[in-house]
Amino acid sequence: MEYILQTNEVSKDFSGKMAVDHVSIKVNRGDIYGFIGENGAGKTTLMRMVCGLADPTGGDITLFGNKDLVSQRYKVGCTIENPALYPAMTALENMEAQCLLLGIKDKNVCPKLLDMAGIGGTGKKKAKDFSLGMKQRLMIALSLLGDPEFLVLDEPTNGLDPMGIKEVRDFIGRLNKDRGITVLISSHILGDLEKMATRYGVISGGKMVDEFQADELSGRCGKNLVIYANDMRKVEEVVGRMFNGVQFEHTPENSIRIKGHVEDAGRINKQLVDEGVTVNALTPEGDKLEDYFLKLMGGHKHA
Amino acid sequence: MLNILKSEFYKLKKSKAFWVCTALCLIFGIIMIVAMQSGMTMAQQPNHDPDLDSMLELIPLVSGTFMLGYLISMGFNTIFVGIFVAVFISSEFSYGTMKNTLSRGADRIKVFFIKFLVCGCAALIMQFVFMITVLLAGTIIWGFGTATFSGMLGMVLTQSLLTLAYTALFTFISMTMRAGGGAIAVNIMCVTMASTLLDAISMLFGGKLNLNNYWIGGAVSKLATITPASGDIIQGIIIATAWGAAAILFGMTLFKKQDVK
Repeated sequence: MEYILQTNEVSKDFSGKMAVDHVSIKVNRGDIYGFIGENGAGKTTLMRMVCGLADPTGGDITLFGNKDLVSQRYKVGCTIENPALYPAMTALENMEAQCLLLGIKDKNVCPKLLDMAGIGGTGKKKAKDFSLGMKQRLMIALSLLGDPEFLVLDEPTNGLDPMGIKEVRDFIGRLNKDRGITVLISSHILGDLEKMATRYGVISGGKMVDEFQADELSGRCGKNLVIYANDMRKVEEVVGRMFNGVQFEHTPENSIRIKGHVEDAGRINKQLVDEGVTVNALTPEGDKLEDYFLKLMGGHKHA
Repeated sequence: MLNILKSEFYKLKKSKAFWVCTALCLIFGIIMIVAMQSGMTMAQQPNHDPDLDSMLELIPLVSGTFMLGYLISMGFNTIFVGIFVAVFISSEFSYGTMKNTLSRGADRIKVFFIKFLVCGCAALIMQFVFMITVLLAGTIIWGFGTATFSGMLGMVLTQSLLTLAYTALFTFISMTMRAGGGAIAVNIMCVTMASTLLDAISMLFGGKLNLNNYWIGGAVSKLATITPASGDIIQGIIIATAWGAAAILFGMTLFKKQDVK
């Protein structure tokens, strides 16, 4: 397995307060690594250390298998926190300034990337007059200059409308699939992250709480069976007879949620029908990433 | 390094602060010459304001070259340099664009040094605009005066070196403070109040050692003439080099250690 990013027991201490506490993560080539944590959990601090904006006070970081990070950072595109743009410059001028910094001679790259990010037609409009969504898109376009192999995106969908969020999500997905760009992304919109991430890392209070592949999520999340039928009392009675100690929950939609037993759906359906219950629907229901995250956080904190 | 330099010059070209401060150097140069001429005319009137008496002393000396030295010693152009450097550098931190530079692997020492180089070029442009404006306007009103080419060249070169020393100090202050307002205030204070403060401190110690002699502002005043003493020139070069080098070295060391938000 080729790791694009490895952090080994990385820590960051701000005057005695551990913002990041011995965090080890591994981002494989081709991953879209969803980095989750509540506000102040240490996500941005870790990303800033990866991007060379802050020095770790402990541990080490490896990029592309190399510990000489400065020499590897040209292969990394970043957007950390708010969009960092020159407000008095146009989108193209912002891109040109970055092109010069990266030594990119081909000026056609800039309009192409702006088109790709969906802000190709902004013309002479200054960045200060852009909406937050446009600024976010311009930042992503800027981070793509120099054909990076690894993108570090800190809440890139912040301030975007639902349409914009979907567009950026699809855009990141395309970059990952078509260009093979590995992505480390944090977002507060966990439902959104769930649609694209291939691997997750959960951080809380500066400490790594969990790290898992996307396909492990369903195993970690609780699974329930929701039954819609004409006689709820009868359903309770039948299912109660079938499984000792089964847990029920009535839903506001006049259905019954049974904890677990998804694999018994067929048997339950047959038994209910045999006992004269009309089953309208029998649906497996799983916890979402958000539910799992809240469980990990003890159900009180928010992402 | 060349790429960072190109990118910084591109930003300088697009910087409003640079063009505004350069234009202010030009406008201020003209206003000062016109104001001096007006003050001298009023000072020659009977029953003039006694505050204008000092103007009478200038009348026999006044010329384009004399005014050049006189106004340079007041440090007006340096104030605009201080404002520009503070705005140009601190905006990189307030807009967060410094992150775009550093996250792509740019070496922090090079970034600091190039900031100084670009600000230095801008400062020299602003100084030359101020000098040429004052010299031209002064020459039109009072004539060129008596000055040798070598004398003029000496003044321009030593003042340029001292401006670069000021720029290094402003770069250090702005890169360290990172807040536009604060950096502007401290930079202006360096030009306008440091000499007074050093004089006051010297007096506290009985006036045996004049600290102002070792400050950039003190050297600017001494060397704002077309006939400087050779000892003053050497002292000016040493002061400019020492302050400039110290500011750059301290600035680089601090910037290398600091986190960037």
